[in-house]
Amino acid sequence: MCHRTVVTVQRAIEAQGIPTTLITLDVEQSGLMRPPRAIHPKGFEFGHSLGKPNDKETQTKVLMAALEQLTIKQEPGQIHDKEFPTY
Amino acid sequence: MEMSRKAIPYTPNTRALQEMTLMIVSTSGVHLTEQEPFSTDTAQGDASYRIIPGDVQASDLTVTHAAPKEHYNTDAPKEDINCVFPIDRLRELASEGIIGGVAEKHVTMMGYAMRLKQINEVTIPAVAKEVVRSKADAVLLTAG
Repeated sequence: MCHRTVVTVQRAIEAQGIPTTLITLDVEQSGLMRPPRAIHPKGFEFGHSLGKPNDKETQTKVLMAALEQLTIKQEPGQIHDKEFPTY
Repeated sequence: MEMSRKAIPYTPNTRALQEMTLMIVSTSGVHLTEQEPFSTDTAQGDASYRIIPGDVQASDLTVTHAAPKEHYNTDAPKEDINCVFPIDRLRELASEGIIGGVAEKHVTMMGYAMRLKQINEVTIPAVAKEVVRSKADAVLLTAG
């Protein structure tokens, strides 16, 4: 449920002229709502959007991958699958 | 704010990350330990939101979410809030000059309520207004 609502929030913010980027672990639920920009860290458990507790390395990589989406011109509505081998 | 799903709102961004102030908006149920927790009544959910001050310490944050534990285990974010709310990671990027800065406030909610109409018509427009009124140039969203 929260992975669907988050995209509704994202779209409302984006519609106000502020660029947004989403980290989602539920491609099905988030995909239904078509997010403006999103990444999907593959194989992460719920509660680990950015990685496991105290795994600073993975958390930083996931955050950077999400923020990079802001700098890439793209067709909105896609969720980009990303692999993070350090997870 | 009725919008068809087909038309996807998209605001082109021309700025570099080094020039941008980032805000977190999360539906993962994060809140200050001193704030009222989100309701865990699964029949009702919780349509409210919380403002997290920009100078918050990670240790002053916790998570309360009505989702069943087998679906969303909050043990990890309770141990390290950066699992779902990467406030320390954003600050590190700001101090390294990779991003311009971290916003003066952030917004959190549970994103789960039976009264979907209230979320869509009251909560979400209010959250969007909080973002517009802030100094944030862009928003990172997480869901838990």
